[in-house]
Amino acid sequence: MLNDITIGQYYPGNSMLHRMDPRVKLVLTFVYIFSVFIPRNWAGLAIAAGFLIFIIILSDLPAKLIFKSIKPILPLILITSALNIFYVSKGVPLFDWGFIHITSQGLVTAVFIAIRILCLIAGSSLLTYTTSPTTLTDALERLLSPLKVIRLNVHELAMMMTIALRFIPTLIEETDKIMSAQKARGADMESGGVMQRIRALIPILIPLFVSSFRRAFELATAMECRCYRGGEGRTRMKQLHMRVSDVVYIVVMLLLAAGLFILNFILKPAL
Amino acid sequence: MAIISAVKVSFYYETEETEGQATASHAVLDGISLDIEQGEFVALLGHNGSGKSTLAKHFNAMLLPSGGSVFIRGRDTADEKERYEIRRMVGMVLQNPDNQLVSTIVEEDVAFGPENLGVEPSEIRRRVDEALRTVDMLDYREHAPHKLSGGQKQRVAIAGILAMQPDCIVLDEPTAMLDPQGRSEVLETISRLNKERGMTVVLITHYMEEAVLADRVVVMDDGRILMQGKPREVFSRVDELRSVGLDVPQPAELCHALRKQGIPLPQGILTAEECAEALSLFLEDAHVGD
Amino acid sequence: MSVIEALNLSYTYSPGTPFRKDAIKDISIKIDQGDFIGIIGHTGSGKSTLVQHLNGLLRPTAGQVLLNGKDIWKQPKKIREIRFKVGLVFQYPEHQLFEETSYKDIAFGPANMGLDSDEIDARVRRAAGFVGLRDELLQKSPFELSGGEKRRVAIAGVMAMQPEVLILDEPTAGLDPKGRNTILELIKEYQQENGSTVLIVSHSMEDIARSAKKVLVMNHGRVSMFDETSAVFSRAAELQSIGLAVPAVTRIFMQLRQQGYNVGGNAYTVEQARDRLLPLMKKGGVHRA
Repeated sequence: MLNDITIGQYYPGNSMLHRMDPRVKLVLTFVYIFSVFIPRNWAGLAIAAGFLIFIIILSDLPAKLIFKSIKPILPLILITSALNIFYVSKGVPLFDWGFIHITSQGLVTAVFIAIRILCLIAGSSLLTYTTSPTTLTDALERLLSPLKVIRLNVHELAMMMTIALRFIPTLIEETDKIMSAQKARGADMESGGVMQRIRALIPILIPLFVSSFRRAFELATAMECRCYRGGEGRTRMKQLHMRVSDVVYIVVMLLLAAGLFILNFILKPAL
Repeated sequence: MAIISAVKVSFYYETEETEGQATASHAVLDGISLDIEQGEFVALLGHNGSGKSTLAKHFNAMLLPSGGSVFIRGRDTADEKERYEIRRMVGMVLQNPDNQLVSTIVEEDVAFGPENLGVEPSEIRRRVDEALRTVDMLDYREHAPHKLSGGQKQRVAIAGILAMQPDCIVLDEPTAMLDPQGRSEVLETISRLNKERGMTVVLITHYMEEAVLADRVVVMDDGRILMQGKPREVFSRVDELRSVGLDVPQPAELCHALRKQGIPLPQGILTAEECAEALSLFLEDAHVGD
Repeated sequence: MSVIEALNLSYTYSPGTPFRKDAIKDISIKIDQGDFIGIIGHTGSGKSTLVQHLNGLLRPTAGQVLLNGKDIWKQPKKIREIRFKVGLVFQYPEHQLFEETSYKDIAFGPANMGLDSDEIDARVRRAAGFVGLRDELLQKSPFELSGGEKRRVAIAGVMAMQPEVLILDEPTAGLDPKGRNTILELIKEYQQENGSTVLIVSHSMEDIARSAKKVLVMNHGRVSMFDETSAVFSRAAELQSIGLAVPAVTRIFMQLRQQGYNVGGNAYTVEQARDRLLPLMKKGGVHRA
């Protein structure tokens, strides 16, 4: 069952979001995150958040999945909001008791931050839910390939990522086996203080390291046998082609960003 | 011209005596000459340490000889300029199924080789599908490698080599880590590649049940070729094989044991069926009841 | 009394999820002290799952495992002690080596048992002796040893706990014929000298035929046969029907019997076959009309 855990938890589907060119998706996710921080008024914030909800619906992803991605950072949101509520001193004072001063501006700031963080996390999770790790790595490689000019070996980085992703389930399985074998010899991983538990990891980590190095060596040999010699001269079977729909998405997102920006000048700022 | 031609190949690892004395050399290969012809299925048989894997690694220039030369269709493996093309011509499948697969999706892994060769994308697609079909794994093309069985992984690895359109495939103990089912899947695939598609195959193994499938068996011991010939010829030399730590298939061993006791059974019996047939010729009298 | 017993043992992986898998179902077997048992079955038949229950690595979904009559899970906090009494050597055990010297690695098990250093030393040397490991190898790092030596160190590491029951999962996996013989011989000697109970899980019918006194055949999570070796191999047709190959000599005997020759029951080793056939054969051949 551990084998089914993949980084970012790709959720297969056929929505427009799934079918979007991954390079476009990646870039637009960043544009969206940037856009979320533009609005300084309620209308703008509502539009940014509303846009996200609209996209979520279009993605055919179950709401439960989105909540799952938000859950871990709720504590963070609460803390940040609390900090803002208690420490922002601008605006109309609302509540005074001892050293607790709550102002209207504090509340507004807290809400803005909370919504922004929520949108940021949910928006990023949309990316990882609708794009498989391999496709993401691929998109990153192609997007960053112009950086070759500053001697950044983009291909090698992408290759490293792909191999890492490929071997994570294998390594998890191997760790499991090593743990079982050491437990069968009486290794105790449960009891004792911190130092003892750390020491108890040695019979797991050393064999794992040794086997990983051996694996790496064998894999490198196998890759050389298949004529690998870095990114030079390599072609790709899977070609990415931008389609008209992708262009439309880009335009829409740019309009959103621009619109939010303009709204800042038209409407009175809340922040 | 032979596809692979090893000429007086020697190979040394530099080793040290345990007491830290002067470095001594240990000859892993000692003056081996061997030709592999187009369309042949050759089995390199030997116990661990006989040098069979070391020799195999010379065939695709993973190792270079300390003495002698290896030629692939006339190209010298020692020539760095030829190395790339040699590795395309001589594809190598290794022992550990996991440590050959590079991608998270089967078809992308099979595409790895042709991509390295700079093959044009639609042609890669064609080759990948063709290779997967040949090893009977086309249905799994979008699966993740880590979920496959050992036999399936090895077949994907073979497909990855086939997609490079090699002249010859060398398989270094491909079934050593597989269960019986995986082993028979892989052997069946290799056999089919050779018989139906005329692919030249070199199989390195220590299992005689696998070596019997070959056209020619080359038995290695201590860095030298001990004997070679058709499987029947080789496996009839039971005592010699035993003396170098190899077994023979049970039917051959049984006939040998009976021959030692005076029963003149013919040489060269390999399979259970042949053995039963041969034995029955001496058993008619013991036939009880009709 | 049986030394180890499974009572209606069942285990399900990931119950209640879409990945649910019944690995073993309702297994009841009794293993007597001093038994030498071979466990065979196709991949996925539940062999590994079963043996991991016997040493308490897995906890049954249903049923019990009894060691000397007592349920091993009666006191779950003390389950580690069971693992010292039922030693399990995993497949490719050389992958678990980690210590600075082979000596220390073999001592890992006994050290976990809380024994004093004299006792540990005695046990390590005894175990090293069983697997034929020379003294100078004990002081080397396990990573400097050959594959066969590493495996023997790993096996010694479990033997050093001096378990009542020793289980080995595919001890000859990946070895060449000479290596296979070495390992099987040392296991046989160990069993004979100690009189301990030994279980070998294997895919090799020939290996099982040569060493085991009883054979447990698993099929799709259930016990298909559990009997003396000769009895199990005499049911060759059944074994073939559940996807297990029988040794070649067994097939030879089956074919001869099919053709009407009275060659007695099945043989499963070459020596047996030769001894069974010799008295029946005419040296000059048989004249066929």
